[in-house]
Amino acid sequence: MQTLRVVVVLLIVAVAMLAYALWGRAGRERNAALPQQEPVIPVSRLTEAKPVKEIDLEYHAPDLPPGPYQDVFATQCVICHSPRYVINQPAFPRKTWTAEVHKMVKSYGAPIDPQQEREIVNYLVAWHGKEDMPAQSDSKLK
Amino acid sequence: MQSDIVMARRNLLKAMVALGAGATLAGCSKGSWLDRMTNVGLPNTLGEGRTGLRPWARYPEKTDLMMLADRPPLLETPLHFFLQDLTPNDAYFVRWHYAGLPTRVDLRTFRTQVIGAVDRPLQLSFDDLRTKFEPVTLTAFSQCSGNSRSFFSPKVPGAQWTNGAMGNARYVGARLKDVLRAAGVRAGAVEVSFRGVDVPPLQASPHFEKPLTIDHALNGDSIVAYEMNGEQLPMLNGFPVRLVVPGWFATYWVKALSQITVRTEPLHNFWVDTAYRVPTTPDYSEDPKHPSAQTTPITRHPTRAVFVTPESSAQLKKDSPVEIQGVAVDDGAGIRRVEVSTDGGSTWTDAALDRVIDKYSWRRWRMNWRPTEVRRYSLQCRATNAAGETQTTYEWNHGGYCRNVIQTIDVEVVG
Repeated sequence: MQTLRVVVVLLIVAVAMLAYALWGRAGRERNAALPQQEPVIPVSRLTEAKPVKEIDLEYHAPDLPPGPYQDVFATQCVICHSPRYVINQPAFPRKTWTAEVHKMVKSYGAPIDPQQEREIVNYLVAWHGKEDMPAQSDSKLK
Repeated sequence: MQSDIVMARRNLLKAMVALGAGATLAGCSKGSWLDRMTNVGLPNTLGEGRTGLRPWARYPEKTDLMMLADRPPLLETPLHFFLQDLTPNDAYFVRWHYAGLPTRVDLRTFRTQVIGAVDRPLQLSFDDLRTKFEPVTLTAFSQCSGNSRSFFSPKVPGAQWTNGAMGNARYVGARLKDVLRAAGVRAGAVEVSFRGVDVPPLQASPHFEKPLTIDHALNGDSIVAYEMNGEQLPMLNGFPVRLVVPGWFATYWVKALSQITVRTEPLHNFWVDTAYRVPTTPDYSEDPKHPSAQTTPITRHPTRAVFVTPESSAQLKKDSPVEIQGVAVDDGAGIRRVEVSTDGGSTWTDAALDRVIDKYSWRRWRMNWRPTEVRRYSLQCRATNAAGETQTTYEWNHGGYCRNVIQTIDVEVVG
């Protein structure tokens, strides 16, 4: 009787362990097949001897020619880009420079008020531009 | 991995001396005051005509390149580098939108995020990208949307590139598709957009960010590249990782790629809605007096052949054989034919095509020629791809984009 009871208890334990093992493995497999639910934030494994790359940029800005409103150009335009962005361009007519300066305000958010816009355009036309030709609409259209 | 930084720098004055600025200054004395003050001596013959001031400059990890601008840098590759099938990293062209480009990257902290409509947002380190995804190697051509802009007439505002805002390189990287799959793209995604670590100069300036459609992003072509021609990417070409979108203009090849956003609504910003747009006409042309109201974002490379040698205004010897050589590019359909004319377009002869390097690589072409008369010759080249796309003789658009008209160069044959 005593022995039978021990055997029954052991049998129950064995069945329970077997069931747990089978269920557990199935569960693990099911989990493995599913995408992980936790966000994956992989940790970097540093293998590089030199993990930091650094360069030193030199600027080759041309001097600004003297002229009316040179100071406005120098403060309002050069904060974002080199004056070389002017001299690399063809000597555009006033109309084109006006559009370019306005683009800086409208599209790039340059804090230039309308009065300064006109002054900058005047400086650009004098420096690297020309007045609009009334008859010739700046094109040799094919 | 070698991360030696070539710190070779040269200041402008030294460059002026080295390049014989004296002669150049004398030569352009009829130019403006500014020409005389700043021209440091690029010979006019390097381009097809004078396109403004293009001094040489040497930037970090770069050889001497034609400097269109210094801050942010615009550096153009001289044509002779295109005699090589792979454009060397130190000669590869450079173009940044904003002066706030990265000059220092710490791989211990750099991450490429994958965020938005994904199941598992990711923060991938340089090593994650190299070790957790299958490496893919491909050779691809890229070019600035405004490559060759200086040849448009009437001239348009923008970087006045000649033909050197392009290059061909071998990249190794992780497929964008695999990266997106790892994050788990959610249903309803329509676009994937890309940002780099470069920052706008003003709070109000639009951050540079460009999108691809979800189908394009998942088509398996694009890679997040961490290796260029067997080396780390140069800082100025997008170290540590850049997006490579084969067959499409470089505006999509976002440098120092730090943020990949999966979107359920299309991205609208200045760079999508205003800049980098071309007319919807088949040849990307519009009337300069009445620019087209119908525009669309620039996308794939149109079919095009470019002369590499001889260069424009070259002097050739009468009765001496010369090899005319160039490269031809398209969107990946494949270059099938390149024709050359030595009589200004009246008659055309097929050039020999080199073997195909890779689907999205450029393809080299060659033709032997022996000029028989002492005079000026007009040389032209014209490519056709497997889709039957070829080139036309006229193109103009307001952005100066997608240049692919038949190229004409003049060479002088002497006795």
